[in-house]
Amino acid sequence: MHEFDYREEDSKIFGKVLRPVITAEVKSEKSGWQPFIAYIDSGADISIAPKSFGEVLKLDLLQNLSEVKGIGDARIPISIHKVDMKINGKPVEVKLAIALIDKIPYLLGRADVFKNYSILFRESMKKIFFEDEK
Amino acid sequence: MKEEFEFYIKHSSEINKQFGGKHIAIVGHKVVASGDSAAEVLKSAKKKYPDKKPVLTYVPEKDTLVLIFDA
Repeated sequence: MHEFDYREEDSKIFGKVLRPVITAEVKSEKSGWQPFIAYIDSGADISIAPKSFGEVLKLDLLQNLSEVKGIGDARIPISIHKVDMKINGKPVEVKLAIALIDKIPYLLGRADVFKNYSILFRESMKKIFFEDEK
Repeated sequence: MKEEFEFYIKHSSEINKQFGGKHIAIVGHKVVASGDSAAEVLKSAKKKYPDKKPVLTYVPEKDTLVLIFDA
């Protein structure tokens, strides 16, 4: 079992908010393992990272183009790739959307992540627990 | 990676104030590079700490609201 933490952040609407963050490592066919810190987002269909992180992973950002949207009509162009990701030390293959913009946080969404782990959010303890899914 | 993660959690207020809207690279208990591109920040961090594996992240701005993304 791995534990991660909630992080206190500022919000214009709420003042202080707690957001669940984790560390993971990712690699593509052309890159080595690169550690990063991301929000874990059970509401996101897919994991997403900024454009320049795609460059770190040496991904071809002209391939597999699509769009994602949040609430409302705002859309963000993305390039979708299969990468290897380690959260608990065990590598799993996940779909990662690289946003074609840079001002965007790293998010780990459900696709290929949530099926591999049992994830328990305990905001009262400011902890998130990850366990390999049996 | 654990050390860098703990630093990012414990020092959230200072990090957010100083680096909001920027990509950063953390080595140990220190932000060693910041900028507008993860690739440039990593390059700079590796130049300063060639034997370390910098941890990358993007520090949200104050008005960032993390929303649902629908692929």
